[in-house]
Parts: sequence; structure tokens; C-alpha cells
Amino acid sequence: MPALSAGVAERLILAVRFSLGPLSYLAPRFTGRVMLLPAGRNDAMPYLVRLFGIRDLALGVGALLAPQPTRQRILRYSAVIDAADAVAAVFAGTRGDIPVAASVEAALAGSVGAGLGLIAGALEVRVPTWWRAGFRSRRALK
Amino acid sequence: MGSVGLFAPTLLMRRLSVNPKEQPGMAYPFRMFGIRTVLIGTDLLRPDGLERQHAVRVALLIHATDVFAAVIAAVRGELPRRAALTATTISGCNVLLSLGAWLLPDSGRPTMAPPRDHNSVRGA
Repeated sequence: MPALSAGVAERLILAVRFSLGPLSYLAPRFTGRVMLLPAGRNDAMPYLVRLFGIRDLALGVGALLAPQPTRQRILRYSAVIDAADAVAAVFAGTRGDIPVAASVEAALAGSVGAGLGLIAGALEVRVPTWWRAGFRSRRALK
Repeated sequence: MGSVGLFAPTLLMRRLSVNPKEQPGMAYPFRMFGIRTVLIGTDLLRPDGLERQHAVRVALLIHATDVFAAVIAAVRGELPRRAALTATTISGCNVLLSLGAWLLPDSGRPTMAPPRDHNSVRGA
């Protein structure tokens, strides 16, 4: 079985942050359905999903653009965040707050995310020089 | 706010006029919101520098979009009018605070570094 490198783990985390974050903000009801959350009973759910979504996106932007010490820490945050999401999902499922299927889905997603966060945050992640050079030149043009 | 959302989501639910017994599923997204708010907020406590600058800029973005989310919730009737007004006011205050932090010296405001003179020779 090939080992999962820190770079691949980081890219997977960023892919989730940059897809789930904007999707949650722009289409919270759809995201709720994907997460198997019963939006019909929860009128305020879209508002909460939007608040969650923008924070998820902010974490992705942070991990992408922050300088290296911060970047490393934000990737470690991912492990804490996703582990907390998994615990919250199990807690909500056990109490009957959300359907069991939603709880299992979220707990699995959170556990995988926490594992990726550990891999990505534990090792030094190098950004391709062409990416940093491109970012710098765009800023210099402004 | 993040800690309360994480550990006592029912308190925030009541502030938003959401009955925890009628809508128990709301506690789960509140906890997801809470953990992200706490961890993003910890960066604001760091000493001045690039990390704090980044956190201040991110905070401004987050709170500005929170205001927009609260307005959308009010317009679409996702939140009761009074709760939406409370949420908009809180997020609006946070925007002003973030803006203040951004404009204060040694915070998130980008500064103009003096141009380097590549022709001069140090120590010459």
C-alpha cells in the first residue's frame, strides 16, 4: 500500500475546504441534504451552515496563503477540527439530534479528515516555488 | 462565542430564538461552527507578526460574510426577525472591531516597506 505523503494529504484537505466551504455558504440547504441533515425541521439550519462554511473556507485560504509556520499550524488545526466534528457527530447521533445515517457519515468524514490533518501537519509541507513566485508577482503588479 | 457554540450550543440556539427541543439538529452545526471559531480566534492572540496579520485579515472576511449571512437569513425568514437583527448587530460589531484591529499600527494592515536600493553597496 503506497504511503500517503504530507503533500497529498494537504491537497486533499484543501480540496475539501475549497469545495465544502463555498458550497455551504452558497447552497446551505443542498449541503445540509448532502450531510443528511433534516433541513425541513430546522429553519435556522441554512444560517448556521453558512457560518460554518465561511470558516471552513477561511481555514483553506489560511492554509494556502499563510507563511510557513502559520501554514503548518493551520494544517494541524484541521486534525483538531475534524476530530471535534466527528465527536460532535457521534454525540448528536447518540442523542437522536440528527439521523443515525448522518451521524455515521459525518463521523467517518471527520475521522478521515483528522487523519489527513495529522499527516499534513506533522511533516514539513513545501509549496512549489512556481506557485509562490506567481503569487508574489501578482501582488507586486497590484 | 466559539466556545459556547462548541460546548453549550443550546445557549446560542435560545439566543437565536431556536427551540432546542423543536430543532435538536441545530446543535451539531453549532458545534462545527464553534470549533472553527475557537481555532481561528487563537491566532488573534499571537504576538504581532505575520501570523497575527493573517488572522486579522481572515477575521475581517469572516465577520463581513457573517453579516451578509444574517441578512440573508432575515430576508428568507430562516431566523425570526428579532434574532436576525441580533445576529446582524453582533456580526456588524465584530466587523468594526476587526476593521479597528486592521487599521491599528502593528496589526494586520499591510505596510509599505522602504524600497531597496540595489545599487548601493553595504559598508562602502
